[in-house]
Amino acid sequence: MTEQIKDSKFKLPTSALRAYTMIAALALIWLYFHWATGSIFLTSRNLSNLMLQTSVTGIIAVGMLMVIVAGQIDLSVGSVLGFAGAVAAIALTRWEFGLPAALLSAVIIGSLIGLAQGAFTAYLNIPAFIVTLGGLLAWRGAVKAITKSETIPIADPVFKSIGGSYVAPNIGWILAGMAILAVLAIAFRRAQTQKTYELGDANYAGQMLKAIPAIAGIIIFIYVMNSYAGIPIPVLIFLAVALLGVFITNFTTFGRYLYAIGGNPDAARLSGINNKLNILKVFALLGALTGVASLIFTARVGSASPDAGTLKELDAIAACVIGGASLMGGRGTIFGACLGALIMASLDNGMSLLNVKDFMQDIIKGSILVAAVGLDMLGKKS
Amino acid sequence: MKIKMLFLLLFCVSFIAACVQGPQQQNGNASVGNAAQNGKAANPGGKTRIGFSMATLKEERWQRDKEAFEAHCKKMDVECVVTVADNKADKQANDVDNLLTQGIDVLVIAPQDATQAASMVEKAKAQNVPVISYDRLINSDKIDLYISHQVPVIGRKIAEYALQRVPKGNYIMVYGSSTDNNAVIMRKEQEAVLKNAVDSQAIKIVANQHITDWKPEEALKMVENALTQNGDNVQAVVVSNDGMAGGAISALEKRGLTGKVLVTGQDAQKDALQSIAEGKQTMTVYKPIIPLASAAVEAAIKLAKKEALTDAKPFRNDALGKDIPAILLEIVVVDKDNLMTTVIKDGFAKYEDVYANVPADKRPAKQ
Repeated sequence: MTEQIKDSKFKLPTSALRAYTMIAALALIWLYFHWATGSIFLTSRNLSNLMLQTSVTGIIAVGMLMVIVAGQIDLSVGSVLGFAGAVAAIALTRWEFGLPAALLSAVIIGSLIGLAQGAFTAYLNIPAFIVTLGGLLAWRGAVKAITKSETIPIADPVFKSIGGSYVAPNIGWILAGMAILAVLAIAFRRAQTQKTYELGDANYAGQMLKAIPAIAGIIIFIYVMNSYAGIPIPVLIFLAVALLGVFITNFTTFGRYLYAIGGNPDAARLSGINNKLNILKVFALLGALTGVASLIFTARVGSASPDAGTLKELDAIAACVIGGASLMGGRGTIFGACLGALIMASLDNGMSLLNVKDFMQDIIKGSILVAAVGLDMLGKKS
Repeated sequence: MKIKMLFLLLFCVSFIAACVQGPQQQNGNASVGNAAQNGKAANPGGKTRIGFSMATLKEERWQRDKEAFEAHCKKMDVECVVTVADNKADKQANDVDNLLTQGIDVLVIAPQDATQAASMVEKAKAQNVPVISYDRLINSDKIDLYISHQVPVIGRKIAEYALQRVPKGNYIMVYGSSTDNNAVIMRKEQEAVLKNAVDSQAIKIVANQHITDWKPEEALKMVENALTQNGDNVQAVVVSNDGMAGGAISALEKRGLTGKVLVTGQDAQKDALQSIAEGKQTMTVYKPIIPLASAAVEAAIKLAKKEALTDAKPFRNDALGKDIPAILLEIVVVDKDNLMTTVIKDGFAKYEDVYANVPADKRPAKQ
């Protein structure tokens, strides 16, 4: 890495610089809390809880990031989360659909709502802000209607396990092995591409070296999770969603189109991209992910309540923005959004461990949100 | 193509409009029209008209309040107009304005914000409409009646119950929203009850927190973190309502502590009653809603007829330092032992619902 810095005269690519700053900020926050809580924050048990507490916001943030990158916004996710969760709970308890159908119904409802809101935005040219603001109100109303303002308890142990059970440690290691193989395979392919496009000889050693931090990260993560109880199921789902997000944004035409549309919609349209269709798709995708998140949310609390998910949209947007996404569109990464979600959850978790009063928690979180974006803007100027 | 779209949109809008207008005609819009045309005298049969401005219907109990209130109005043959403010104080101010334009004879308010509601009281009094503060206390000395359950007693009873069952050990205190007057009153009462035990170090409060908007998932996170911080060495989780108790139970369940740790609650929600039957939650506080709603309707009718409220007693509003007339109803502590003789006997909850997750051979005999 030192060589790379020398090569580019001490200039890292901005995106990488941003990622390193954020990791450093997270590390600082973690170390501070570890010290302040009397060495409790960085125990495997708390880290396991922390990852659990990140997963719902994280999953929504992945979808939200893609929407934001495309230059759109979705304010309705909190209400949609409540609605999809309530549908699943009612499908299970009142309509007796059976578990798989109940789970699926939440995801389908989420996608359909996303599809509808996307259609209004893309094809009727109503600004996404307005459509989803309407959605925020309407879907909350729908939640109250179908739950009859009652909290619907969930007794099914399998449903509940989505929110709180763990993957057995040896399966965790198998997953780790698969992940490491995948990382190596990607590194190998990268090296080969260099040769294919005649950019020089395949630099296998260099690419493998670059893969080391990722591999180390995987091993440490699994080790920490296993030394408590294993990977929590919600965290596993969150990781899968995040990987899917990384794949979509980096390696599919759909993903690259989102950046083009968000960066300059007219240029994108004139170069033959179907802006409308892609916007429709991205809203549907966010809707589906919100459906997935709603299952975890409902399973974790053990019931579907009429006010489930209120203000979740702001958590998700904050995570994206802290992670370096621009609300103007065209800029932002999945990695950043996930890190943003983790930072927010770390603040919540740490302050809760320290028993900080609720009003101080709000003030601190608000200040950090503004400060994070402020720092980002400073970095952009220089 | 565009024109087609426009038609489609037009169709959608008119469809939605039709849907929305249908049910509203029974209470809202139609009567507004009447009142606007005929002024305040617009009471066709000379029926007493009661306006009931509610803060929310999101929690189960408020749904029951509304149903009981409307049912008793019907029984007493008076008209009632109910509005719901979706937890927004500004919407409630508009609702009250609208109720007053509809020419109501008496106004019942379940306030979203205790202090902001005082201005609504002023408006009503300016039009000579008497005001009842329902369940939650309005910070105004102009109200004609405060009707509620013995709120200060709720906090005390919860804490006393916990202390009696767990005289020694570590306590987690989960309080309600710090913007809710009742939550603050409950906290103070609980602190007062536990003070001696805390001072003598019999019990230790290891975490205490007001939870924003009484959210179950925030309570879940708080208890999760408090358990981590104390290595699961917790004997009682004193929670101020059932929704948050559900969150606390999820946190305990994950650590295999359900049934071993005392969990309190309030409201006697259906899911909490199930948890009590299963032994996951220890107790809840049952505030019989039907007597409350009925008493409110009857008091409202008396006020409308300018009759004296004989059963009202002075109640000290600490925030104002003044006494106001109040009717405070009894509350009931519900635990596993008296489920049958309280909530089920009153018809507040169904036997089948409460024991839904308990195997048939372990249920008490149906009465």
